[in-house]
Amino acid sequence: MFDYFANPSRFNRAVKLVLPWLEIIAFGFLGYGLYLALLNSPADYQQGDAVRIMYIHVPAAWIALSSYLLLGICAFFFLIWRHPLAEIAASAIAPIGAGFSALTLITGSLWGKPIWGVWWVWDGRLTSMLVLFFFFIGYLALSNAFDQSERGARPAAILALIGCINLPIVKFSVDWWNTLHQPASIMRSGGIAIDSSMLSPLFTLFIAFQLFFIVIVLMRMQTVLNNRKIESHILRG
Amino acid sequence: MILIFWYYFKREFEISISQITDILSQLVFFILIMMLFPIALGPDPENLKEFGIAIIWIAAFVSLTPAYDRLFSDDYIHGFIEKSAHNAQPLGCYAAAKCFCFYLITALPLLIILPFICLMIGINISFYGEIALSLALGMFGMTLLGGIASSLVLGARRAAILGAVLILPLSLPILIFGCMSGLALSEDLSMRPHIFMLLAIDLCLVVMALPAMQAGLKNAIENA
Repeated sequence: MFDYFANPSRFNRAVKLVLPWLEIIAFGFLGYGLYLALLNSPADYQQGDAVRIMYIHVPAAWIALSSYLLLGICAFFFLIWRHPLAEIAASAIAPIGAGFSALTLITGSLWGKPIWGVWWVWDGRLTSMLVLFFFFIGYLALSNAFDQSERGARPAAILALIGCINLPIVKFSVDWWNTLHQPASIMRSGGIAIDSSMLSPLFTLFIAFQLFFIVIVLMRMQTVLNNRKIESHILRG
Repeated sequence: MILIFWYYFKREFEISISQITDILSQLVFFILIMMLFPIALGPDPENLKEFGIAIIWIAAFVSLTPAYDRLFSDDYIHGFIEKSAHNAQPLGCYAAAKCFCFYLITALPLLIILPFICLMIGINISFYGEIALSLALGMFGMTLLGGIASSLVLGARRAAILGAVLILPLSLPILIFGCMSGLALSEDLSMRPHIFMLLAIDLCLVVMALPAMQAGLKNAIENA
């Protein structure tokens, strides 16, 4: 399958076939998940309705983290095998990952204000999500920093790989830094004990976000492929 | 291999020594950044003492960051990297020599003026050895990260600022363990675990940086 899709037009045909179905399933899950999360789940006894932010916040954080891993894998395939789709996939994933990590930070901030009383604390988890956001931004900045647009692909892929190796080190050291500096008084882990009535909307929305992510990535890849086709047609006259 | 390394190192060393004003301006830049803190935070000696280690680390980080841009860009523009690649010499060796020389000539001189800075912000001078050791280890890792970033941004627009954007998030672990080692000193604890962590990060970076710089340089000259 890996070799099979090395042909972009074959990939394009497959995507055309799959994409409408994926869209329907993704939006179905999204609608059902939002119904469960906003209407059909209990409010928290401590946090009230503010807990419903969690159903967006937590899946977004998962997607943001896993999309950086995916970016690193794509960069690896691009650098080692020069797989043509891997480069396009990496450039399609990066802005979406940046968007999801920004969404995580924003929803977290909105959630933090009513619950903790502040928009932001320099907690280990918040800080490492911010660093992840900057990793995405660095990738995007590097891949768009060259006058010939395809010139940035390889440096950016190298950066993504280095970032993937470094991310656990950063996460671990930031956690350590935080636990030494301030005791866990703000993040009361006992505050939210997840009940099954809250778990089912969370997982439904997680699947919905995952499908949504795949749909958007495939759409962006399709657009890039079509753009290149147009460019080559123009060049040929 | 060692001969090639030595050849590059000698060349680089002679060029850097001949530009002695660059080294001095690097030192002055370090002192100036350090000077901004008492002016911004207020001259209260107790305050400065508390933030002293952090001030030194931030000044070292910030003063080195713009310097990485010059690591490879001169040789890139003059075609020296391309010439070395045409002679089938390993670019990793060249990059290692370049980084090592940068570390000796640009980064380590900061340690010479460190005692005066310790006096100025009220850090106990008997800690000089420990602070210098942790700073030397931290700047080694920073130099490798700077080498990676500057090899990746060769030929880019606004390469200097882009390099800084790439380096700073990656260098957070070094800053964290460096500052924690200083904190351990002021609380009379052993700074050994933090020093070992810095050493471990440096060794990881050596393994990572050499192939990354090689790939970055190769890509830059292929698309020149």
